[in-house]
Amino acid sequence: MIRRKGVWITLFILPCMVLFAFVYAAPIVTVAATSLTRYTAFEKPAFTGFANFKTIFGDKDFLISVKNTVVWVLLQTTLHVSVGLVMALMLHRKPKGWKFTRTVYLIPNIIPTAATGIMFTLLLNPTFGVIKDLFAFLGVSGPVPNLLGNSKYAFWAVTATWIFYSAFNTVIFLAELSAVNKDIYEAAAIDGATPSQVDRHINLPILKNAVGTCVILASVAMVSQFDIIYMTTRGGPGTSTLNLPVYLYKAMLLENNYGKANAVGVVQIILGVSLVLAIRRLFRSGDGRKTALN
Amino acid sequence: MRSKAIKKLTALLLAGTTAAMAAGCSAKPEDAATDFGGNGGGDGTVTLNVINYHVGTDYAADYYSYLFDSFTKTEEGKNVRFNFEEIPTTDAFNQKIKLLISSGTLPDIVLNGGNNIIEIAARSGKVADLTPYFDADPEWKALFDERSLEFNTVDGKIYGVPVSKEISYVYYNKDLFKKAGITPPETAFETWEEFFDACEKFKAAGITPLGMDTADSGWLSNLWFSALIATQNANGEKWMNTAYPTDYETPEVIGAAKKLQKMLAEYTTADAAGGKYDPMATHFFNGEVAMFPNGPWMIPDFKNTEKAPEGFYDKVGIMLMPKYGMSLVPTPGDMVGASDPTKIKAAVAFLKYETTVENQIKALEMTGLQPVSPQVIVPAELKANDPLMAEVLDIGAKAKTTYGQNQAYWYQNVIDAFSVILPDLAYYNITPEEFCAKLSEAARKN
Repeated sequence: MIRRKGVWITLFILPCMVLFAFVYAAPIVTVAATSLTRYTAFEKPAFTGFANFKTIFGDKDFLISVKNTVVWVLLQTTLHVSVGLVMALMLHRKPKGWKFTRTVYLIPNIIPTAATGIMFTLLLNPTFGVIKDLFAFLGVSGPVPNLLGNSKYAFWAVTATWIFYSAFNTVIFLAELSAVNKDIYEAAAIDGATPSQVDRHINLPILKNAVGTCVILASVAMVSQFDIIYMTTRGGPGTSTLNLPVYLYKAMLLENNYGKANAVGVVQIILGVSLVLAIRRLFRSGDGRKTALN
Repeated sequence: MRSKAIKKLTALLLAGTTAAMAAGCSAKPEDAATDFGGNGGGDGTVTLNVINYHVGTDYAADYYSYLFDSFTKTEEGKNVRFNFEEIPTTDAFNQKIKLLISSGTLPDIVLNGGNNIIEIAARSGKVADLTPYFDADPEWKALFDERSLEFNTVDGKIYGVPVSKEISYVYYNKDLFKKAGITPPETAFETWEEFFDACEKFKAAGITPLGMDTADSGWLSNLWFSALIATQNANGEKWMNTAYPTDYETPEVIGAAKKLQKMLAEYTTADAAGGKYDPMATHFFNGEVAMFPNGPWMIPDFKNTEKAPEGFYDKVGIMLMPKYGMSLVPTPGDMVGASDPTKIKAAVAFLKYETTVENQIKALEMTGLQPVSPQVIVPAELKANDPLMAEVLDIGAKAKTTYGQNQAYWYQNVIDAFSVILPDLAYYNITPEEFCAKLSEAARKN
């Protein structure tokens, strides 16, 4: 019986494994292999060992792109997830208008990121954007800062285009909270627990695994973040918003150096996998209970 | 027993495979008649795949629509059909073409998207050598000047058919000059000092003097920058006429960067740093900036009431860059990505049609694209209907310095570096020397 069950499991997993092999595994192997070659738009790959890795690690722009990527991962896994968590805890209390708020909060997340990028370049335009009117309304004198055009502000301006819109995390947290037995809340209410005590002693411990999941999703998203940066600043001004995907894109399409671009891809994959493993370790349940993360 | 069964199964599989292969082989000729990607059709038609970025609101959308359509009505094109893929914007188009070069799946006709990718395409071996077609048709070859063909030649072989010449100069708003009390020069400011004096007068009158940008390729800023370099001295002129320069730390380039910094910081709109071309063009259309560098393809926009106010065309004047400078470069030409001889022949027929004297005049009339052929004589009627265009055609002859510009002459990653570093120059986050050093650094990556 167990053997037959095993056959069925294999059969169901097989299509997924085949797809994975063709769609992910084969390209990853190709990327890794060609990262060790000199490979350009007009040259066939020729083995050069770790030359591409030496090149990128000797390029300060690459190191800046790694630093920016890591900072964005940290911001996304802390601030972005926290915003979603706080929103979920608030909405879970079902205050007046909570359904409307939940829907409105989701809107920025369903707008294509490329469109969001264009929208922000217009909103933040210092000569005709909303920011100009905002500064006038607030009575701030002097020239309106060029938030996306000046490297002093660009990193934070680009970050602001996504960091507060954490509705997908909120949805995950709300789904987890909705599965909690109501008796627990009733018991807490009978014991005189305040809403913040309920959050601290009931909701947050329950949400630990969901937080872990959201942190993994957030970090992986940041390692591969590209479109909104490309639409707003293309990694500039200077290198202020340059991250790994944009650096890879430039190596591939502007320098036509596919070997170098794939070396960046390998670093990106290693960084992504390392983050997932580290986060899994961080969120591993202390009581030995098997969870989605372990 | 088991061994026999395996042998039977293997034989069955082999038979099946052989049958499938045979079916595949026999299917080829029938498929070819309708297969867009295949050889010439069985019914005598040839279908050419084209990726077209001249679509939607593109300045040349109507012209290319006419061109493709009218070609199929000619004797050479009556059996040709086009299979279009539309990609709006040259930026997206250029990226796609580069990817297709590496994957070896270029369209049969590769339209030029402004970026100079002739060398990459030629060295990849994915585009056809057009030299034999030029040699076989001396009349066609004679349409082009030597420089235009040379620009499209790699290792002695011609890979691109130039379809126009690219020139740029300065448009100015007559009303704003009048408002600032400045008399516009007849042809050009004699010196850059005079030009900067005029900028100061504009500022004093509350008018933004210059249109500039930095995003994408920093097109407008680069036109100013190119002029600043080329008109300095003979070295600058020579540098600006050199393809793929790698040393940007010359006195001329650094000197130009210093002036460019001043222009970005003091004489342009607040959104120039980080800004794209389109909002900057809107500033000019709205009468918010006095001088705007660009090419003749912008002229139809002056009459387009969806872009500019009614009557704007009459407010615009034309002058050369200070010290009589003008960007003048042959364009990277259209290429042939087909490998099948029938398709190459059909594609070449189209390119010949595209570059007939009549169609060069038509392109000038409909898009402002400058004729590539010195043999083209612009009809007086066209000049009368479009005085600005007539002025462009006349003013070119008065240029004392002509030079290339970045999209045609610089490495792609240097154009990008120029674009992303420029805002730091504008806000004095880096010095002109550092700016030039970063451009050199980018060029060395190639």
